[in-house]
Amino acid sequence: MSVDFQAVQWNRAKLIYDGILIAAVALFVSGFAAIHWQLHPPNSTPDAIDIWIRAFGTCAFVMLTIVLAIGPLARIDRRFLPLLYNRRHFGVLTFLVAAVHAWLMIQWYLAEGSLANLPAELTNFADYGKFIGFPFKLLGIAALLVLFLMAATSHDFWLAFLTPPVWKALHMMLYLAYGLVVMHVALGIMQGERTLLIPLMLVAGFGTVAGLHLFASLRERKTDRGQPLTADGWIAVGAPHDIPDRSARIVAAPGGERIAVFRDGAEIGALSNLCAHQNGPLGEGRIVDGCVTCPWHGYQYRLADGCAPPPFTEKLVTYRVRVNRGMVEVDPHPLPPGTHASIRYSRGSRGAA
Amino acid sequence: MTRSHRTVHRLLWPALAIVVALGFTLALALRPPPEPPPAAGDSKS
Repeated sequence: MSVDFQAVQWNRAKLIYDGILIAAVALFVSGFAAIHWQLHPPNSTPDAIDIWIRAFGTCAFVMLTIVLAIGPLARIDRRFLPLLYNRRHFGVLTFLVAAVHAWLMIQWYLAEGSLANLPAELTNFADYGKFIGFPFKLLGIAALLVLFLMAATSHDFWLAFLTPPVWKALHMMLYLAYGLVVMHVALGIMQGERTLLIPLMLVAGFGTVAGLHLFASLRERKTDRGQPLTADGWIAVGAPHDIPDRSARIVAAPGGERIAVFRDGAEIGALSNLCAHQNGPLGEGRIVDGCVTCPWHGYQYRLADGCAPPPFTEKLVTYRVRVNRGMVEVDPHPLPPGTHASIRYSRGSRGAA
Repeated sequence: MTRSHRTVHRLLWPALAIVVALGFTLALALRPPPEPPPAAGDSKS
């Protein structure tokens, strides 16, 4: 949506978000290390490094859990949408914290004078046949590589270059990374430490994320099944005033993509539910300053024709709408992006404008 | 999200949850027993 290229488009909201994020990470890591230091004072340099390894590793796990919970939470409850606004910075910071965890691991080997043991551990192929004793560090390295790929392609340049559907599919690898991290911890530190905290952290974290994703997707299943069609193949949406003013009702034809049917006073229009930016759910947004506004990052489109207001150039597909016997109906066949398709209705109107 | 992404979500999360839950349970159940505490005489050395 930008006119001039900027590497990162900072604004006040993003700066506040990032400031809180960095402060929380610093507080978590230093607090974790301080408590551990008190409970188990280190006797050597490797022991001290080990505390920082645990602090950054735990922080990365917690951050990854939160990052993965934000998406379904925002789909379940709109109050979580502000967390989604700058989620990419959260993800990049998660990669950096995980990278520090890995770097400290190498420092630990150096302090022990046994750096050669690391490649030896990873190339002892007999261990790959074991379950307990599996080279768990490899799982962590694989997860770190996925996080790196996510961070490296997080910029809007890659989003535009790869297209939103491909970019989104690529970024779903993060789910796999989370599974790898859980097993990295379960086959690593959990094998040597008898504390209940580690299994509890894994169960609570993974259980929450998996539960939220399953709940959110099952709840949306009904919409995806689609609405029944009228005799002439249109989708019945409801009475005009069933659509909240300056908001939308989301409908879908069986097997089709979702359509956001907005009402702005007496104007009714239907657009693709997919924002051109990141395929965000436009129908969960509102009309702000006369434009349909995506709830994820604020991209805007005119209700009448699905075009972003000048000087921006994004266009969405639109759909024909009509008021038939007091009911709003939408034609599930999309019109070319940018086609004018909204109508104005008045009480008692019986047909499309 | 597109319809196909939501379908992938609906298939992927149950599968991932089952695999991870199984792996985690095995990792917990097969943990080696804790090392015995050092004998009293050892602590003097």
